[in-house]
Amino acid sequence: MKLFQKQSNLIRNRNRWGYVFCAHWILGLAMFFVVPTVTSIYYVFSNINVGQGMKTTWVGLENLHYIFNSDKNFVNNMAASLSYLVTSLPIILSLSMVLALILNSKFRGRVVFRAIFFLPVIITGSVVMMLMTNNAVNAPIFSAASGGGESTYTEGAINFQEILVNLDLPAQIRTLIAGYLAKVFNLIWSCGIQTILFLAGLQSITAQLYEVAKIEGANRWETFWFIEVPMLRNIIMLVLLYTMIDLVTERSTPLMTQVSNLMYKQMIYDRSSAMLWIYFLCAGAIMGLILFLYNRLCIKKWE
Amino acid sequence: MTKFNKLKQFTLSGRESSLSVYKVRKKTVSLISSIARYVFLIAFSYTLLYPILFMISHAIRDPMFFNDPTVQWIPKAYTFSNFQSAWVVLQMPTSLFNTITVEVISSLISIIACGVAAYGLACFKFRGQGILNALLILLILVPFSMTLIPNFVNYYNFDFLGLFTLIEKIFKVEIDTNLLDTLWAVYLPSITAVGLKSGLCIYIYRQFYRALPKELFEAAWIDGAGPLLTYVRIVVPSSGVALLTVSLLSIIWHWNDYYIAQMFLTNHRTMAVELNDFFMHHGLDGVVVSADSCMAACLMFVTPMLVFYLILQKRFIASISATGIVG
Repeated sequence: MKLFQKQSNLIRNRNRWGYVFCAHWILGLAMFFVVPTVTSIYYVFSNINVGQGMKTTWVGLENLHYIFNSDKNFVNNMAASLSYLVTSLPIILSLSMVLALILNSKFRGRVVFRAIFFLPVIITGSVVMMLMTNNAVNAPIFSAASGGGESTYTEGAINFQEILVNLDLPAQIRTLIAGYLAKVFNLIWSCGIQTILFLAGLQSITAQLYEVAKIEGANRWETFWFIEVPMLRNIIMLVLLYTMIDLVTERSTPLMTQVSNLMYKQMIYDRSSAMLWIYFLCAGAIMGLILFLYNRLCIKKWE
Repeated sequence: MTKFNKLKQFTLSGRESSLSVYKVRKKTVSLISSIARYVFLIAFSYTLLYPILFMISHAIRDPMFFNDPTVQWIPKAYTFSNFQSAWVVLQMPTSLFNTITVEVISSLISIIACGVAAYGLACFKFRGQGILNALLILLILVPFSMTLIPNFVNYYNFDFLGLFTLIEKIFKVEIDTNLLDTLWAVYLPSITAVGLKSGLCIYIYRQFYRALPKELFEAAWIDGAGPLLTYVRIVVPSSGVALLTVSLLSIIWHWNDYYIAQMFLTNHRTMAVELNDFFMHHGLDGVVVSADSCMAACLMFVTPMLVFYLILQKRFIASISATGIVG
């Protein structure tokens, strides 16, 4: 008994080293994460005067009142950003899944294609914006879909708009598809990390499972739904989370543009942080709902 | 007997014919699927490669031919003047130097600091670990722009818990508490592992360290290695893939970062900041800089990372599937 006690003390002493290794991080969390986050909540309820060295005065709900009632763009922008999140998510998820499935199978030139599909992770931010304004992202087949602009490279383009009109679909579906076509580059460009994650997950599935499925006589479609998807459930969760964060914080969404305009150009910090918090709370609610539904409907079923 | 032979012959031939039909069908299916796969992949990579080819094609194009509709990809005349003007606009030697001192060094610091913090989180059990794990998830979730302005104020008068004021009062010395425009504004978060996307880096490391076998640590402990020695001699050498993944991602993220350098370091202008300003003013002030030199500037900015990635890419994709980043 005594020996056991002693040993457990020893283990406890050893485990105290955890504090030592985390010490710098705990300090950093306190200084650069917890305090600033709490401060930015405080900013929501206060009036900031930039002219006098960031003087803050408590004003209660005034900022929230202002952004909802007096700011005409805020609600619309937020709705646009959130609908961008909701509409893009399924497309990105399924596209990257399909890509990962293809890249996981054996064929010639796999290495080259894998290298290409990871390019979006390297080229981000200002470069992409620059490319977009210079019309460099509209590969000819898509330029008709995105309105064309003054591009001189539309020769031989397939006019998707015309095809859509000719297809005789209901108006809502047509606008939805047209919307997807207009941002097809954005969608494809944001599949980089997701594809890699799915690919990594697919490679960790053991070959025996596929063999069993083959012996049982499952076709490719059934194999996908009964083996790959359930085995990837945790990765799908991670990809969902990552994609949603990526989509919410993307610089080019209407609300983020408005906020960064307010913050960096007009230096209005109180209202902009109120906007950010409202936006992230709404986005967080949607994210939570999606993850909850996913958990409830899918993971429970597969387990 | 003959009946049996006949039967045998019949079944054999039947099986053979059905087998050959099966084979042919299988072959056609695989042929069609492989064609479909290549079509899909080529369409995708065309979309992804188009901007890069566009960039290269325009960067080496003589400005005279910019609006020439007969020129699509291969320019009629080559020139390096675009690169020259991009070099000037990006303020090249200085901004490259700044990028290295600010971004690359801080990402290197952050790679080490995140690893140490993740080791503490993954390999020891201590009180308050649950809170730290929750904070890690929050650190990944809470977007960077949320804490930007408070951090700005924080740096302007960096005085955590009144510590510096206390030192000033006790020792009667003046300490410059303004961290803005000093390299500390970037290095300090990196040292304390809360820099750019550190949450994800720590998460990747943690997943990997957790997957290391317990016996490894026990053996090290029995052989008399302390926790620090275990980390340096056992954990780091056996987690090369995690290190590779994190370093590649962290360096790319830092290289592309624009907000931190823009906000906190107005006197150390990095390439990303210059490029962004170039982009903004190209639109705003009507400064006549041709789109070709825009493309040349982009190419100059992207090339180091592209080369870096191409060197590491084969290993990287192998490693990312081995890290268990996904579990």
